[in-house]
Amino acid sequence: MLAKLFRKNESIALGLCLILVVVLTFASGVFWTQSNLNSLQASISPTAIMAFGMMILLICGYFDLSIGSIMLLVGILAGRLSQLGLNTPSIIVLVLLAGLAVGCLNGFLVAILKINALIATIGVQYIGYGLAMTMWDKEMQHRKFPANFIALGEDRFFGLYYMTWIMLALLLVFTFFLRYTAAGRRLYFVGGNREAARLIGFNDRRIVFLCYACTGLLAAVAGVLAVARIQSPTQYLGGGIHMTCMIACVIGGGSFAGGRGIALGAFLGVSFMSLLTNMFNLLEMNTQLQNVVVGVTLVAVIVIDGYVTLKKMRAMGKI
Amino acid sequence: MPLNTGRTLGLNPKRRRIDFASWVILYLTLALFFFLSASRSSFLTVGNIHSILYDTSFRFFAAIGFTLLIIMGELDLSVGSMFGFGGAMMGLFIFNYQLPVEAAIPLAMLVAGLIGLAVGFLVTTFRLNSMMVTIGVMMAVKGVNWILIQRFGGRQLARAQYNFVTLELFGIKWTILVMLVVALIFEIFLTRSRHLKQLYYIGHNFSTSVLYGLNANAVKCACFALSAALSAFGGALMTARLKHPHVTVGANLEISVITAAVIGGASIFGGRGSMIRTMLGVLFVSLLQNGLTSFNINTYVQQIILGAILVLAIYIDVRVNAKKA
Amino acid sequence: MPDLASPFLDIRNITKSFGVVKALLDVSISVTKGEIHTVLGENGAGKSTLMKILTGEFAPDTGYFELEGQRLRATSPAAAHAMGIHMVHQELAVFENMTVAENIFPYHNFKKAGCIDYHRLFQEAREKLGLFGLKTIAPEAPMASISLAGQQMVEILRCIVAEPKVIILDEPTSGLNDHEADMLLEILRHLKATGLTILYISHRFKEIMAISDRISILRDGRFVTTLANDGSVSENDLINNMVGRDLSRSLYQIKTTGNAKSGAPLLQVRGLAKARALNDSSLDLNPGEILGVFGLEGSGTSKLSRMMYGLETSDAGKVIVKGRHISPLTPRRMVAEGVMYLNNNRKVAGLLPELPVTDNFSLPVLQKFSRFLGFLDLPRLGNLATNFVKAFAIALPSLATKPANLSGGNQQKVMLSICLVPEPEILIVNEPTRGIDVGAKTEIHRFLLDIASRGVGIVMFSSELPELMSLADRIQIMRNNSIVGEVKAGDYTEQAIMRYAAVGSDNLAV
Repeated sequence: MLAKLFRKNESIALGLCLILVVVLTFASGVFWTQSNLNSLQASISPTAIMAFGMMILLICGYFDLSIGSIMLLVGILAGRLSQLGLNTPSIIVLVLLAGLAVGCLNGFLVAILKINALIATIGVQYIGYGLAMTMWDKEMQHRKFPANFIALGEDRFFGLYYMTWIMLALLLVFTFFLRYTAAGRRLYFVGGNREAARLIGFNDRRIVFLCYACTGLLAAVAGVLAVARIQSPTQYLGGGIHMTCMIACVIGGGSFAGGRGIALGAFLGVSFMSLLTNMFNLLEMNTQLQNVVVGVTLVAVIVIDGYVTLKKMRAMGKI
Repeated sequence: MPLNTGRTLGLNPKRRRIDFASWVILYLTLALFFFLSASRSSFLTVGNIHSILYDTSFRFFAAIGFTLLIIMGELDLSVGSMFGFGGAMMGLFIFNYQLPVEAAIPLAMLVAGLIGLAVGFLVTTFRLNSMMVTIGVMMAVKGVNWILIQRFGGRQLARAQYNFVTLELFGIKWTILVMLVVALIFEIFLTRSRHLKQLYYIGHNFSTSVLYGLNANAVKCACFALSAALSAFGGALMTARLKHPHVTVGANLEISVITAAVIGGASIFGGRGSMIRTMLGVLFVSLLQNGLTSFNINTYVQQIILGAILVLAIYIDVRVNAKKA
Repeated sequence: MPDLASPFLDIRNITKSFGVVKALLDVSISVTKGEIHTVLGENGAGKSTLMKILTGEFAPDTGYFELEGQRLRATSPAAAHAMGIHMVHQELAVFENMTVAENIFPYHNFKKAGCIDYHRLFQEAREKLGLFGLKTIAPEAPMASISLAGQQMVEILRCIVAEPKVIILDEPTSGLNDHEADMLLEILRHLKATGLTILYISHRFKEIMAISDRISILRDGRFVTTLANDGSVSENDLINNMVGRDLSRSLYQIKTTGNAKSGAPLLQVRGLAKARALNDSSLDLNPGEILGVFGLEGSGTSKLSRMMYGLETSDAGKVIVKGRHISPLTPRRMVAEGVMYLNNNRKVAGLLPELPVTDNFSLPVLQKFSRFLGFLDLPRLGNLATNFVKAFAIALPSLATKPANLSGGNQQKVMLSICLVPEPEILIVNEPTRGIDVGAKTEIHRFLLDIASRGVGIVMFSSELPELMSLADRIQIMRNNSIVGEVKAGDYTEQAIMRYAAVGSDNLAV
């Protein structure tokens, strides 16, 4: 019963979002105002872009806790480069390369050196945060980016922010990739049964490496959009966002055991998390309470995931 | 020679040879000590050494349970937030319930211990990855800490409620002496007493320990509870030292503790680790931070260095100790 | 009709040893094109090793094989695939999170405008499934939702679509019921008709007789004979060839009189059962008795041994030790009641290879040898270890030696000693001499007899028939997850016991 419910979790995430929307519609008068919808877009879009990366890793059976610090690193690096007077395109290219490089570092540590994904990415998180903060200085937050950079976060097209369009485009790209390309399907084979995938000739290490690299790049894209929206770098960028993404993906149908999940699920999970934050803000609840809710949710999700797996193993007579 | 050679449990009375490779942490600490003594005139003063040891003694409480768990192959990432939780709970009991500090600290430890017990129960019953569970606990507890500490609104502890932490014996802060004694007692029990020696059996091969009648799950639950309770104790002491509960207490402490335990010879694959060497590991991290600060290296670069050391230590651990399967 | 004149796959003089254990000795088998060739033998006869050499998982010490006259040596499973040799492992390599169709075609070769053409994929899969009469399996269904039999067939299909020259099936029917097994055999006949060569491994005599063109028999790593299944061969012939050892010259003395001590039974197992793993099994063990349990691979012996010690959960039944019903049934309770378990695979559990021998010995007696505050009596533990090392003639440089550095035979002796340190009254031994040399084997046999003579009851699970016949006072035989018969010392013949294990009765006429 529980297992069956758990298997359809894209619909769970959708249901949770709808419930929150209904609650917020009635409980808060400002939910449907333009400014609230704008801030929702600005919170969902970069997070969802990162969550696509997290989702492809979860599908392979891995995860990345360093994406928050990649976001921060990218934001502050962009600030540095704009102080140096570089033009917007070159700033963007350089910071995207930086994100890709950190992603490759993660991939190298986890897929090639076979270091435990959690420890390796926590270490990289630490290194990335330290690197970012060494480039940081206080006056940076008062210096705005060039106008055409800020446009990325401010300008709209048919009523939606550019970043929302980019997110939706990536949603389509990843949906297509995961569903309609042989390379995308391979992630599910690796995550479903790594030994068997190796046996039928898939190179699991290369696949995992590329997924980490891609996740780093996506985190950089999200970082650019997020700082463009804030208009200047801030040291609070990306704090805790790795947890938000991970939980969003699990609520949206991914599993730590691997082999499950689609891009739409990541989007719905992130929407749920953003609506939850929105609720805490609009109803003037303590925002730290959100951390408690998220942490408890994560534990609950892991326990249910473990319970379902254990029950399945019992049924197969393995224990 | 590998960095983390397996230590024997010292059962054979004739075996007196010291395993040098396993004392790498001692040499690292000594090397760093001499380097800092030689290069910084401000380093080798009684006051500085005392304050480094004093710092170390608080963190060490978060590392005790962590070491016991890593010996059994479990990782508890919630030690940092449990450290902070100890301070927040102490504040709650003192400010909101007007309890004396003598009651507030044990109660804080009790609440933390019960959370730890629940974590242990979930991990062992559902065979979960303890890292994943404790990362969730870390977030939730951190949130609780913030909420509680915001409510206190910067209230200070009364003098009688904090000055116990600065008491000295023979001119040495008592927390330092307690650290040394506790490390020694745990070390002796780990090598000589069945209660703690069984941790190595469980860590070396869980199935074998169960096969021959050890109650491995109960032992793990107890250690999760102990880890949380002792971390909370350390956090309460730290809070007393700061004279008020603060959200920075225990922040990012888990990274220092993992690093300390692993460079102290513990392996994330279980079966290895020692309390004395973990203590040296914590001391090493404190020395390193003290030294880097004295070279005017800012905390962010320190973070980079610590993160790099962690990854390097785990990499060596993977190379040396990964099961040869 | 297969062309018997020229060998299609020719296995030539293959020898392979693991340490002191000779797994294969100069084995040569020739297989002709388009036949179903069964390889038969007891557990440990060398079948799996031979197959793993064909699929490139092991390299042979000497010898080679020829496929279509070409001399080959597979270095990896991928290399074997390239040569056209595919194997369906007993442990399924399926992807439960994917659809049936993707399990059949994991490489996604059906594309339209660069995208995966799911319509075509499902259609092709449906065609392939239909070809084998598996119309009930929908290609769109998740793999996790179909039966074990279905998963087995889907995995076979995945090998078939790669158009192999030879396909190896390792116990493909082990998880299937009779109806499902019949379906699978039908499919194999169909495949044979398309010219595919099939190497078949099974312990089910009925299916072997029904499907094989020829049957090669291995015994103790040696090739015995190849029989043509043309109606002249009976199950009896197969059994005789599998077991036909000349026991008069061997190291085994067949036990002729049981050590029948009366009195209260030490251990009673009543109606232990679990779905798909074990049917209603009961046994009794008396003091000083060695009760043998024999079964071919997959007959449920290992499951029974683990369940009666509480290592695996069971759905029903109880275990009674010295008149006391043990509940809950856990290894911890069993140890406390004086029961110890010798595991069949010391690499998985039973030994701490990276800890000194003394520490290994003290594991089950931590409580007994501790004093105030749990401090261990190290000198007494040291003496104990010294005594055991002496008594079991374990070759040790020192007590601080780690078992990982010992030979397999000595490791096994250390493991047996660990089980005897707490002075158990009941010993459950699972494959006590697997993978060790003859010298250590005889020593362990002597120890087991000695322990039993001191009144300890031993339940001995073994797949080595001569070993059981020389040690056990009674032998119970398992087949298809049930205990099907018992033979007492004095009535032992290999043929009789093997008949029970193979066909479930000692009377072939039934």
